Amino acid sequence: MFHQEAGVSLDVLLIDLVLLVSVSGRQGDVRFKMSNLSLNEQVLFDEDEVVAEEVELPVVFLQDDDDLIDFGALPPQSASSSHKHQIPDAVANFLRTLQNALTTRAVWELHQLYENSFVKLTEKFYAKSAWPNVESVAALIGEDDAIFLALYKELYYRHIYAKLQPSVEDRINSYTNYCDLFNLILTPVEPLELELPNQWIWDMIDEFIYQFQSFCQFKSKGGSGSAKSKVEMESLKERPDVWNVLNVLNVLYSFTQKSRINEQLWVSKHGGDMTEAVGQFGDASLYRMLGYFSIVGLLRIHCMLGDYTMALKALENIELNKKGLFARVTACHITTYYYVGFSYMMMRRYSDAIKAFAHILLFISRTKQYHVRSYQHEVIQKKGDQMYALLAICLALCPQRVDENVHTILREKYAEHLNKMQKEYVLLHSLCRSNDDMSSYLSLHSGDESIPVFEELFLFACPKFISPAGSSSSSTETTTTGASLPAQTLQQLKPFLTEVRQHHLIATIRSYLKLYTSLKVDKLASFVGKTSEELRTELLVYKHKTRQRRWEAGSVFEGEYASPWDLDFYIKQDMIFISESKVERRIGEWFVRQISKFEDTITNLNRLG
Amino acid sequence: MTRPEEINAIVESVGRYDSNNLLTLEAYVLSQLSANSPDPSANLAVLKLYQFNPALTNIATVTAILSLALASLPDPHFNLAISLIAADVASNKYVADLIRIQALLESCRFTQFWAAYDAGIKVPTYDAKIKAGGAPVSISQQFPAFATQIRKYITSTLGYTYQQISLAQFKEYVHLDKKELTAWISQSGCSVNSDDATLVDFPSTPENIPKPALVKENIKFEQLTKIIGVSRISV
Repeated sequence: MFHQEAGVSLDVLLIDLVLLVSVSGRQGDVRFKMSNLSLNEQVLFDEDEVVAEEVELPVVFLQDDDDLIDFGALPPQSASSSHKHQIPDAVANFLRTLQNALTTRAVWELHQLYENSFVKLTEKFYAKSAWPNVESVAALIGEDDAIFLALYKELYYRHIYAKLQPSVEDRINSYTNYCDLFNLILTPVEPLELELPNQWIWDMIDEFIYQFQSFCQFKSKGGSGSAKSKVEMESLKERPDVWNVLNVLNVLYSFTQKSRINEQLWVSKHGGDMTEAVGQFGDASLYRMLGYFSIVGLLRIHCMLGDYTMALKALENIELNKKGLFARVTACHITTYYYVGFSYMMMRRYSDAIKAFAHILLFISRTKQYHVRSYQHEVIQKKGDQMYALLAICLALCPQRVDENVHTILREKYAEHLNKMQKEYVLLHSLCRSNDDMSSYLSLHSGDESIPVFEELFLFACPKFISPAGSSSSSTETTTTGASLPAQTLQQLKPFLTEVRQHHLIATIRSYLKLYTSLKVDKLASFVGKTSEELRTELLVYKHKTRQRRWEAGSVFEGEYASPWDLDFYIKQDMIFISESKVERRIGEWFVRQISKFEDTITNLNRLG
Repeated sequence: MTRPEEINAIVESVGRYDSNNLLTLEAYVLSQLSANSPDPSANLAVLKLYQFNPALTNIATVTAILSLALASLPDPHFNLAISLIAADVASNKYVADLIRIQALLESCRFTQFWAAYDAGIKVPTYDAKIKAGGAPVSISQQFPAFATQIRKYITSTLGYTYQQISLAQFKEYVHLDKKELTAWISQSGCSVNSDDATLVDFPSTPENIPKPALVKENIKFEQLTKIIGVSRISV
């Protein structure tokens, strides 16, 4: 029933896809210059070489945390065990049920099998070893269900990445399997009769990008340094196609094209003929979701490459302010906002970044009880922590009011960081006896002690940047805090910290301006220990830096200039005039909360009575 | 400014990853210099190709892209371009010079910027065959509108901050001699104060007449549904 075209070479597929992808059907002579290796050759890497490693590792489901995978610690063992995997009955049953559910397109059952049974069986049988290899599964299930076997293999490798130590062969074979699987989905002339739970589809795309990123990192580290890994690194040089950035991008672009997802989203936003926009493939839920999640995948990859403009442009047709498909899968929801927020931050649109982070953090805190049971609890937890750190950075650079719940948690986590970043000079000022004391204090601490805090939070919370050229320039540099960083991370950190340094007097000036409605330039200059000329420059900086683009309408990328701060001023000759916007106390919200509490108490009392 | 159709077709499709399009895109970057029509997002496609194929990097194109990004201040295109430029390219002499100048402009050290500009900012000329860049020329020779673009940025930043500034200070910031200054003042919408000729008035903008706002609490009906639901008001 499945259209299988085994042995389709990757090249053929790519050319086919590139034509699909070229703008508005124009048959340009656009071609990807890809590796010449075809899939046929790739299959030479036999499955038997993939051997489970009986190594104990921390049992954590993490997809975005490669800190766990210390490549140096565990040299991959190869071919030490040639025994055939014995498949326990429970697992065999699971596999049969899974295959059956796939064939009969029983999505709800698949959902159960995928999110619960698979996780439980993993805990029981494969916490420390790989799932049975695909040969033994094929022997059990039958050789001819290519889709099932490819999907199984995807799970098999994902499990190895999550719980074990992927060897170089694993990395290559997993990549090959993704090519096989995606070929099976993309090449048929009619949509595959296959349905998968959204969560599964998302996890697949997410994992695909994760493995790509993990590979880039592995490569730039130059393997584990052992003699064996040197041989492996050599063997990788013969396979430039494996986890090549263009191939990875190509997959994501292909999914978005095949599903016509951008056309669909455009029509749903602007109106038009949906049936025409959707097309044959886009109508099938599998393709639609693959396309949609690929958009989020593109957002992520562009962000990891340091291309924040492209990152946001990928979301051109997605309306963040409305509940979109992204909200159907929590992990996708969170990923979307994390990368959108980070991109905004790097584009100096702090207000928009704050809005994105605050929105999703509120969502996380409200739905906490559901996550605790989820197999992705820890991933969500960690992303949340990272976003609180980013929120702290943005709020330090652009103070404004955020949701009370979010603010409370933020202070619990990062109160000290925030204070250091915002530098409460006015307080200090009242402690120093005279302006001279203050000036000498300021000249001693020229705002630089806050830089390590920004750096610490940035490094904790930033995405894993990748260097796509794979130039194994394993050059790591040391930063102010003594951290040793890969070049590509430093490349992003440096301009960011320069930007932060340019902000350094803004908080100080702001805290003084808050105390006045008007004051002389000279007077303020003496407060901050600058000459009047220097201060005029800093006041220009204040205006320049606080003016930022803010999203108002249209796609996430768009934005209009506005001064977002509650405190603004203008200068007339030598006089500064300050206007401060006031925020009224939020009485209503407090009452709403108290009334609810009161009602709950009454309900409880009634129940007792 | 409008982007030529053939460029748009490359930049808005996967053609942007095809290094065969590089020469077309590089030529487009150069055309922006003479036409004074910066197209930062198309230029990012060039930097992306360099990112994926470091061996193809042409320094002259990189400096041209960065000069154009400076001309589109206050938008942060310069930093967004730097995010895509590998460390060894960023440490190139000409690139490093532009980074230094950008820091001056971003931190509003305008007089220092003009000092550096007068001392001469050199950028290499473009030659598709010389990746390290051809013979260096001054930035104004390669990008005639550069100084004017920067002056526009400076004037607008002043306009956001000041309602009124002394003529002497204005002159220093925009770095023009007396004759050019008069033309610039009227051209940029400012005016010399009618009562006191030593002052320059800026046109009113939302930035230089900030209005204090009172942000009031706004409770949505949805927030009250629960309360209404449990209320015991009998009708």
